[in-house]
Amino acid sequence: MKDQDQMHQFKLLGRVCLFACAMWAGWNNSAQCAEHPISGRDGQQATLIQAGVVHIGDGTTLRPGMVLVVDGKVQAVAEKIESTTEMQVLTVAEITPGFIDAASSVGIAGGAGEVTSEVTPDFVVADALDFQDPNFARQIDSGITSIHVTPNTDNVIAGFAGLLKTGGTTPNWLQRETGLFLSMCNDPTGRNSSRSRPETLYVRQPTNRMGVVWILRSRLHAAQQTDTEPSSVSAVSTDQALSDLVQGKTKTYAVSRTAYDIETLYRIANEFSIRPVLVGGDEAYKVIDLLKRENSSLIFTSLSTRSTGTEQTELRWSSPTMLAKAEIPFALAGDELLNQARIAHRFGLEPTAALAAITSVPAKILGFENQIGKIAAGLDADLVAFRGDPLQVTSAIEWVMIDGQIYSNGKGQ
Amino acid sequence: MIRSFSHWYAPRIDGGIAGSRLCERNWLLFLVAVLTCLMTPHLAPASFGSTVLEDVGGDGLQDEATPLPNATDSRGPAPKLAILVGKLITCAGPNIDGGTILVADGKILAVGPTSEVVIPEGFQVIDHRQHFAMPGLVEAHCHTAGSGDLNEMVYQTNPELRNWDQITPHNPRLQVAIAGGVTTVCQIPGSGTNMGGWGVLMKTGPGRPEEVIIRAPGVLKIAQAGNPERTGGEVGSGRIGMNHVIRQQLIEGQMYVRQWDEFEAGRRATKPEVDLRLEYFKPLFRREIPILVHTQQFQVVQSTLRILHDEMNLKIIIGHGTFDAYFLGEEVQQRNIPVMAGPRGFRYDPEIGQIRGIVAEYDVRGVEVLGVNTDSPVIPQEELAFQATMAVRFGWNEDRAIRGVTIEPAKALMIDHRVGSLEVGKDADIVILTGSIIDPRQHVKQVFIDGRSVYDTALDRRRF
Repeated sequence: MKDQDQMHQFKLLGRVCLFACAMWAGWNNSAQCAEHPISGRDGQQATLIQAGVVHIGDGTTLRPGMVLVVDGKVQAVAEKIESTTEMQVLTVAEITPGFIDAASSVGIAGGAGEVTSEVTPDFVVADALDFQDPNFARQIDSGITSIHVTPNTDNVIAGFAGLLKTGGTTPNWLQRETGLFLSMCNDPTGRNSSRSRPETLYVRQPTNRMGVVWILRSRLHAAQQTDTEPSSVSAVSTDQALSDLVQGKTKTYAVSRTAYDIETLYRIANEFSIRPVLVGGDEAYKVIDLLKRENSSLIFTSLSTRSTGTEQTELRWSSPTMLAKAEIPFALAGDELLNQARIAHRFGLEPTAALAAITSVPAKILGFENQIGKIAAGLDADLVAFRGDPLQVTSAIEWVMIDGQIYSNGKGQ
Repeated sequence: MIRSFSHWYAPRIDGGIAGSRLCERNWLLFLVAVLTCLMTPHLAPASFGSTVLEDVGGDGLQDEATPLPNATDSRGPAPKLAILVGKLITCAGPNIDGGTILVADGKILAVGPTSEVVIPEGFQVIDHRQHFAMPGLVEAHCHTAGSGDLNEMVYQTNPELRNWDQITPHNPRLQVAIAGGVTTVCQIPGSGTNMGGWGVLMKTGPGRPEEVIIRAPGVLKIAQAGNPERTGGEVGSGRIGMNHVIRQQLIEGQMYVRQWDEFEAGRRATKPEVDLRLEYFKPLFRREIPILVHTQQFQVVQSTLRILHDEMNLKIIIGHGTFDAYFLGEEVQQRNIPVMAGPRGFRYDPEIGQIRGIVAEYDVRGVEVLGVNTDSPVIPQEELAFQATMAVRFGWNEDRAIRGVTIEPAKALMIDHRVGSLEVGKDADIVILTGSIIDPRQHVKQVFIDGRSVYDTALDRRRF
C-alpha cells in the first residue's frame, strides 16, 4: 500500500508539473498566436540567413553556412554568400528544414472518420479541413511546416489523405489527394464489436480482424475483376478509386501496428500486387527481415501514440534506432516531431538520422522530395531557426519560416 | 488514422482511462526530456560555428539498460543431431529400450535401437540416456496460438474468414505449452457461429508464419449446437434453423467446387468466376482437409454424421463428442470418423449412478482414431497430456492414450505424414522427458521442433 501511495503521489506530482508546463506554454502561445506572418514582406525581397550550422536535412551540414531566400524559395545554400544592401540579413545559431508530419489529424473538422460504411475510398479528408483551427499555429510554433492530414482508422478502406503547408492565409495544398488509406488493424472493429452475441442484423462486419482481412481481400479482389472505365460523372468514385488502387495508379498507405498485422498487410499486398507505405509500425522491430524483403518505408507513429487494449502493442523508445540500423526508411510522425526526434536520439538514433526522420525522409515517402524536406536551391523556403543544437531540449526555436515568410519569433518555445 | 495525439498544453480529452494514460505519457515525455537535459553535458548555448552535434553521438547516450533485441524474425539453421535416449516411444511400433535418433535438416534421418543406428561424422551427440523420447504432442483443438480474434459474430456462416493472419508464433502461452510437450496445434476460430471460418495447423515453436504453418487452410470450423444458438428472432434460435444454414452454406460451396471440378476435367467449356468467399471449399470438397466439428450430445452428433458425412461426403473430426454422444460409437467407427474427445472427459450416467470416462466409452465401442483435446485456453494448452491421464484414470489404455495425443490427432488432422510419430522422414518434433507422459509425476526435459531445440531445462528454467 505504501508503494502505491508513493506512486500515486509521484503521478500527482507529474501531473502538477504537466499542468504548470501547460499553463506556461499556453500563456506563451496566447502571447503570440501565429496565424498570420509576423514579418510579411514583399515577395521579391531577398533574405540572407547566416547560420552557425545549416542542417541540410539529408544528413549533411554546413558549418557555418548561409541560405539565400528569394520569393519563397531557397535560391542558394553555401558556406559564404555575399550580402547586398537589398537583402534582409538574419543571423541564427543553427537552422534546419521545416518539419513534415506524415501522419497528422490537425484541422480536420467533424471527425477524421466516416462510419456509414467500412469501405469509403471516395471520401476526401481535404474536404473537411478547417484552416482556422488554432492547432495550425501550434504546429508552426513547434517547427512543423507541412502536414499530411490523414483519415482515421474507423474504416477498413478509409479515403484520401492530403498534404498542405501549415502557414498561409488560405490552405496551401501541395496535394489534395496524396493517397488512399487502408486499415489492417483492429480499429475498424471497435464500433462493431459485441461483447456477447449481437441479437440484431444491424451489427456489421468486421467485429474482429478476420473480418477486416476479409473486407480488404474481397474488395481488392472485386476491383481486380472489374475493368472500370473512367467515370463520366465524377473522377472519384468508389469503384474507380479501388480500381486505380489495384492497378497501381493510386498511392496507398496502410495502418498496421502489431507484428502479425504487418505480416498480414504484406500477405494481402502481395496477393493483390499493391505497394502500401506502412503507417504505425509499433512492432516493426519484430519483423525487420520482412520489412527489408518488402523494401518497405514506414511512417512510424509509435512514439506519439500508445496502443492499448486489443492492439496490445508495445511502446519501444529504441525502435527508431533499430529501424535505422536495418536501413529501413522511416519518418517519425504523429505530432510533436521535434520531441520525437529528441527522444529517438536519446535512445540511440544518430542526430543526422533523427533530423532526417522529420524532414527529408517524410518528404521522400510522400513523394515531395523535390519541393520540401531539405535546405537546397529550388526547394520551398521552409526553415526552422534554433538557438542551439536542435536535438537538445534547451535549444529554443528562434523563428519558423514557411514559403519565405517568418511566422514565429521563438517565444513559443 | 491515429487514435490519439499528445501535446503538452492542449491535451485532447479522450475520456476516462485513455485520457489519464495520455496525461501520464505526456508527463513521461516531459520527464525524459528533463532527464536528457540533466544527463547531457553540452548545455552551453551554441555559439556561431559550434560543432555541438559531433559531441552528442547516438552511441554515447545509448543506455545499457535499453538493449536492442535481435532484429531477425526468422529461426536459425537446423543442426545435425544424434540424440541418445533410455527409452524410445515411437508411436509407430513397439517401444525400444536404448534408442538413437538422428536428426538433420529438421527431419528424422534415422531412429532405432542404439546398437543399430550408426552416428555419422559431424553429428552433435546429445545424451538423454536417463530419459524417454516420444513424438511431439499434437493438439486438435487450440485457441491460444494467435490473437483473440476468434469469433466474427455477425453472420451464422463465415466461409470467407480465415485465422492464419492473426497467429502469434511462440507466444508466451505456447512457450509453456512446449514445456508440456505440445509441438503442433490446430488453431481454429471459435464456436460463436455455425461456421466460424478456416483454421490453421502450425508448430508451437518460433519462426515466421510461413516457417511454422504446416497447412493453411488446416480445417474448417463448424459448430452445430450450444454456443452458436441465438435468440431474438434470428435463424439459429433452434437446431432446425442452425442445421438448415449449415446445409445451405455447404451446398453453395459444393456447387462452386463442382463447377471448377467440371471445368478442370474438361467437361465444362467456360471458366467459372473466382469467388474468394468460397475458394477454400475446394480442398474441403476434394477431401484434402477435414472439418473440425464442435459437436456434443447424442442428437447433435447424429446430425453431424448425417449432414456432414452421409449427405456431404466430407472428412470430419468429431471435436468434443461429450455427454451421451459415445452411445453412437459404433456408428462413428462404421464411417471411420476420428473422435478428439473432451475437454470434459467424463459423464455422470444417471441410469447406473456412475461416472463414465468419455474416451474409454468410445474405445470400447471400437473407435480407432481416438484422442483428447484441451480446447485451450478452456484447459491450459500445456495440460494436454493430463487430458490423456484423466482418460486413463477413467478406463482408457495407457498405450492408446499416448497415441491419442500424438499419432491419432495427426491422422485425424491429415498430417500424419509430417508429425505424430518418430519415423524416418518425419519432422524432428521430439519430446525428451523423465518417464511416461501419462504419469503426471514426470516432466519434460527438452523439446525439439523441426530439429531445433526450443526448450531445454538445462538452459531455461523449468516452465511446467
